[in-house]
Amino acid sequence: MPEYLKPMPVPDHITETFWAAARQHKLLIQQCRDCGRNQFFPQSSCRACLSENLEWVEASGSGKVYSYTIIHRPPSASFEEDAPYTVALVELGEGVRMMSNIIEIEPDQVRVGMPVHVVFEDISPTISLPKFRPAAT
Amino acid sequence: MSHSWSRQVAIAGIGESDLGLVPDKDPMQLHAQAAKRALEDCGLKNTDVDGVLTTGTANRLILMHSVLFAEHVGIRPRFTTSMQIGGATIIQMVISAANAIHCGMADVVLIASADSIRSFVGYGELMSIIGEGITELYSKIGHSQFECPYGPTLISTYALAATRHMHEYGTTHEQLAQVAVSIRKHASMHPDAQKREPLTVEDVLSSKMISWPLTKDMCSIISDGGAALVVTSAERARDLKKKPVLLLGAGARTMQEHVTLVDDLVGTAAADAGRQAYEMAGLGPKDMHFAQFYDCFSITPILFLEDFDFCEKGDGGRFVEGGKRIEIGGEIPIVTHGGCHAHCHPGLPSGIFHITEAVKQLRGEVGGARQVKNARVGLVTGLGGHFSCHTALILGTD
Repeated sequence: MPEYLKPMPVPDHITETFWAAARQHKLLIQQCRDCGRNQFFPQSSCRACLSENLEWVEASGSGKVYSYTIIHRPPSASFEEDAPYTVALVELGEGVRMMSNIIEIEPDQVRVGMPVHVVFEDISPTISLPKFRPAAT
Repeated sequence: MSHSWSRQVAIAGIGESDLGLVPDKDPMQLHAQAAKRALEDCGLKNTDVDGVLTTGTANRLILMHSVLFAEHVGIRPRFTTSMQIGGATIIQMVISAANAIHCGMADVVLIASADSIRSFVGYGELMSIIGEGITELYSKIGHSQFECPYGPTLISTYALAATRHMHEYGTTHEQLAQVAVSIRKHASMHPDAQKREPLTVEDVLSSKMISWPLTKDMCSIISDGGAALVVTSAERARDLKKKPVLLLGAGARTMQEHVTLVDDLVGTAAADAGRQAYEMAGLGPKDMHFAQFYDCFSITPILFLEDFDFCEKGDGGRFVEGGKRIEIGGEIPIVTHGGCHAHCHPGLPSGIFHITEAVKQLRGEVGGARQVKNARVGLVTGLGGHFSCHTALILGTD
């Protein structure tokens, strides 16, 4: 595996379950056992009711592009070989949004509302990054 | 409970430092120069000041910035702190100054904000620690695990809003470009603006693509410089050198920090800040003679025309088309100094020029073609972070 120079997620005590599941190509979100809300990105308590009684649930991995941009000037040199690339907010079927890249499609073919599905990129021996590609029609 | 200070607090003095490319002054010199000019503008001395507010600078090594600044300019304040809510900060500082003055915790508050993010004068110590990574450090934004790995930039936050607005309301790339063209037209009339060459829609569209749909000319410039404001009671301001510019109304709302968690990218909480400000002032959008919208990227004036009720939600793109309605002489002239797009954008301080411009317009000091005729009431807005912090201020004369 070539050296990965882009920012690498560093799992912490809150997110280690998420990244361990991602390594198995499963996408987890949090669900509040008290108010029932789904939450992404994960944190130690529910942003709606402050309950710490959260559980991990597996998301379907299906969603739609809420919005996107095509980055021509990246934030750092490590992204330059990818530019232009798509940064999108994906709204999952579970109602939460994630930032991600839309891959396996030319950036100028991406559209708002386009159905997409999660795909995992193994970027290190321990980290797999959830990305999205157009859903099979 | 209402203890409104509407019409009881005023901006008595303003001062701007050298602006644009200032290779011979570090941020503290720029602060001090602006402060001296603001005090001279209203005829007060440093020893008259008992409140000091600053934003601090991009130099993250400096703690207690307002205290350092107060020491530098010989002020021993009763009320002082540094505040940081991005491009919404300056208006939040004016609100805080008014609160302190209204409840007797300060009589004269000096607000100062300046930075050197083009020349990086005085940044030697920080650079010796982080080296050439300074640009990378400041362009790294977002959640370290759930946003940064995908390569977003600050600009991409605003690009996401623009794409969504185009999708929902049919806003066009040309309409986005028109915002930059009209703002540049105002800058072309301003002797201190950093970018003064007029632009066409075609120029803006053919400038380098940064983050679709935003091109380089739809983004903020990078500058050195800053400004200072002297805020005091309206009563005291009436005895000073210049015509007082009264605080008529103000409002603020902070939402989320991360763009992933924005509720609605095309209907911002600026609407809430605006409602508060209009209610406090007892005025509405039709009463405004200009709107100094925070214009970090060309999509924000389109959103703000809608959110501050100058047009219906979704009509902002059509409102700016051709430029006439938003230019001086039009229905609601916006960003009459050239703003973050073309006048001066030293990062955190840039919203202070939206206020100094409003004050100059209301005093009738601008003169020439850039002067909004008979300007007596105007709106200034602030926006910080990723549609995170929204502030609004309505200013007027007696």
